[in-house]
Amino acid sequence: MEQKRWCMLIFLVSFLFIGLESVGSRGWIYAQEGKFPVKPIELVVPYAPGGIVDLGSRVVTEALSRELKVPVIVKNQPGGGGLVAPTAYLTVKADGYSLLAGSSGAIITTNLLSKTPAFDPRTTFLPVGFIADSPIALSVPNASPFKSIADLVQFAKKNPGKLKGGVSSIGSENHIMFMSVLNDTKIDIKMIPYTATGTLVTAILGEHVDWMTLTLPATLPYAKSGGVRILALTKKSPELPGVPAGPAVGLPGFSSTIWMGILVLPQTPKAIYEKLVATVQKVTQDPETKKKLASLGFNVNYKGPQEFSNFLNDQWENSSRIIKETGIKVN
Amino acid sequence: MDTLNSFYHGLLIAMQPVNLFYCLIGVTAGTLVGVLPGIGPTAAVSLLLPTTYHLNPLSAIIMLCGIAYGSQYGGSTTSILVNVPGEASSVVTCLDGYQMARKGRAGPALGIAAWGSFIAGTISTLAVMLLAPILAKTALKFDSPDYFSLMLMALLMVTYLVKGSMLKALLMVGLGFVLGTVGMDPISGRERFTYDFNVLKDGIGIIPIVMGMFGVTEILETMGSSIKVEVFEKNIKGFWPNRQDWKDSGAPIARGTLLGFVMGIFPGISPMIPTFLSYGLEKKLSKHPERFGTGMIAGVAGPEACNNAASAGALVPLLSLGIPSNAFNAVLLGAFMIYGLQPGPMLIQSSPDLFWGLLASMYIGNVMLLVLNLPLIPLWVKVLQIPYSLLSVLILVFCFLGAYSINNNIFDVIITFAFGIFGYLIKKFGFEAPPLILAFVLCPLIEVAFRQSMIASDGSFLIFIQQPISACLIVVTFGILILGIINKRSFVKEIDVEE
Repeated sequence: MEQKRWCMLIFLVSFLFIGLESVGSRGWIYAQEGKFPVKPIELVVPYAPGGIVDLGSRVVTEALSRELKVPVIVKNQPGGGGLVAPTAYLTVKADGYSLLAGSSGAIITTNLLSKTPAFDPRTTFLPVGFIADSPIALSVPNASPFKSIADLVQFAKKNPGKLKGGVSSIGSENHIMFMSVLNDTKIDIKMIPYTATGTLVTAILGEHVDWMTLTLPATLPYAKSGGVRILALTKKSPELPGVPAGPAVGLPGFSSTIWMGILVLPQTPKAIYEKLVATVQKVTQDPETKKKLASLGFNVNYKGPQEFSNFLNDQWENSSRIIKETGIKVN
Repeated sequence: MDTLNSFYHGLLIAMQPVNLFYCLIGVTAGTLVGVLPGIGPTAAVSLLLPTTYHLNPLSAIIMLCGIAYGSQYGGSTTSILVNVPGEASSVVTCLDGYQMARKGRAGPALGIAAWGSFIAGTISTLAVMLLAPILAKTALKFDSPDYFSLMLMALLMVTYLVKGSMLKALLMVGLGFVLGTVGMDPISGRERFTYDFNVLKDGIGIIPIVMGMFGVTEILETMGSSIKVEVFEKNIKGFWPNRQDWKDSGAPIARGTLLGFVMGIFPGISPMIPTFLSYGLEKKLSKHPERFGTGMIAGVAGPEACNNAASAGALVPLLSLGIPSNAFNAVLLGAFMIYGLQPGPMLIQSSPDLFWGLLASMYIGNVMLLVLNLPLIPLWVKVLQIPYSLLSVLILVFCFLGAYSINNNIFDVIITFAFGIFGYLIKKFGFEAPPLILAFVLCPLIEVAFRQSMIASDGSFLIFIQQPISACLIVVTFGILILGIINKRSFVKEIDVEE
């Protein structure tokens, strides 16, 4: 008898929970109970497996899983130069179980270049935490006579149209930074676009192009092995103390970085949001995670929601100014 | 002698139980990834990467590389059995492999694919070991005009891929080029033929196209035929390649290995392209070119050796320069970096254990794959005894699952289905799929190389004959064309007569 009553009670309670679950689609039940998370969380990555943001995200999800005690899974949703994922993300349930891995390309650049942007990165998403960034490098082949940006600019001014510059993937942050150099110095060079990092690097090592702009993680290996020489970075890096940042050598626009951060929808319940903010902050302080991200070329550089939001505004303005001034148009 | 000593040392490292174990896991997972259509080694490695963080770097890299070459073994299985390429680089294997299966010779086809892969894998690993630094420098010599001329030569192979009308084949080439231009213009970034669909911005994927045009088309065709045909002959003629098969396959395997390895070292060239070249070459050199497409074992042996050699060749720029030549190697480069290793000229000096251990493990892995795959053949052949009405449903499910798994996007499934119907229709009208696929794969490479050259030369076509490598390739290309026209026993005519 006793047993039967218990069974009945458990049945009723679970029934109640199922009912509440559907009512609480805005997630307030978890918020009230303070029980988040109770099921796996997905991190939507706007690129195919294998890119630097993808690999970085996998390091982060591993740490998040450990911290949140539920599996945090990377969901790759590539397409449209990174635009497909954030656009699709607009329709997910804002319950904290789906996070967006934001990055410069997907959230800002591609969106700025889009004819009909579906979102505004400054207002559509709620920043959770900025995790890490990485500068873009301007480099020349090691055999090149140019030892500094000044050398390069001087030669280009004397010989308009002579130099060939390589850039990987049009519409990417690398491309915007390439154009910013031309915009700041008013030099006339040929821009040769490559479709993948591998082919661009082959071209610069084979001295088929005179200089290139490429992310530091992708450039650094060749700088270390003596294949290329880095003349400037968009931001000073602890790994290369001797290399100046763009603004210091007359390239004020050469200052955007490749970054990685986590965003959610603004409708996310407050308690869940706060838990996510705290967890992301904690994860970025973990030395093991820091080390792994650093080996990929990322500088862990945590920014809280407010700072992240300001950062988004700054990047948006810098990129849109360069795009406007150089007349980059892809659509 | 030094190399031999280092290699011996590497072999000892690779033979350590833990490394053997991870090698086995890698090649087994690779075979599975290869067999399943859609899921490629790139996705598999990205997914498995976090699970390897706690391993020592060598074991992890051995496992990840095992997935890569293991998938080249598995890719042929589905091509031969059910006409669905398990990997993009196994598309050509469908042409003759599937026909062999229909004639009851699935066993020898699978057997020669496994042996061809083994021979190619072993020889090209040896080549990586001995020649990597020299070969990598050669790859650097190639500039955009040289790439253009190389791809132009590859395009010539279209003529050897067709069974029927050359005119129809050229129409398919044109269509392949049009499809290849869908998406973002690689040079200016503008959208072409996207009709405001975000999913079309990155172009149409090769996997949905080949799965549609081979797998789905095959099923539609079988269902569509009014007379109930028995797709496979009941009596299976042997599981292993016989003496004659070996005689027919020896030279193709050797040529396929060489071709695959050489093309593999050039960054950016997909491993699919050399397999098409290998098939074309075998057809050209064969005494019975007209029989290609009806189940010639040379048409399986060459391309299958070729894709394995290409996958090993791609390690040349990665290990000796640190250049990832395809998406898979880009992930591998990321893995190296996470473990704090730096592929490049310094790798052999800075981590000799890793370099030699990895190469030695590739020999062991290839032996494991052979041991793993040969006993599986009778089992695979049994799959064909499933009634086709059931098997076809399974094939469809795997095709669509595979298509969906590429991007987690339903759009790829729609594309697969659409190309299935399209493939069925063109087949009814006597058109063939392979020229379209080759043109589709070559299109972005040719276009980018051509436009890069034009930017560099300020629009002068002379750039293609001013650069020595490009000039040589152009001369060879036009030489073949002109010889084809003046030669009475030209290949094109043979086909016309046959029709």
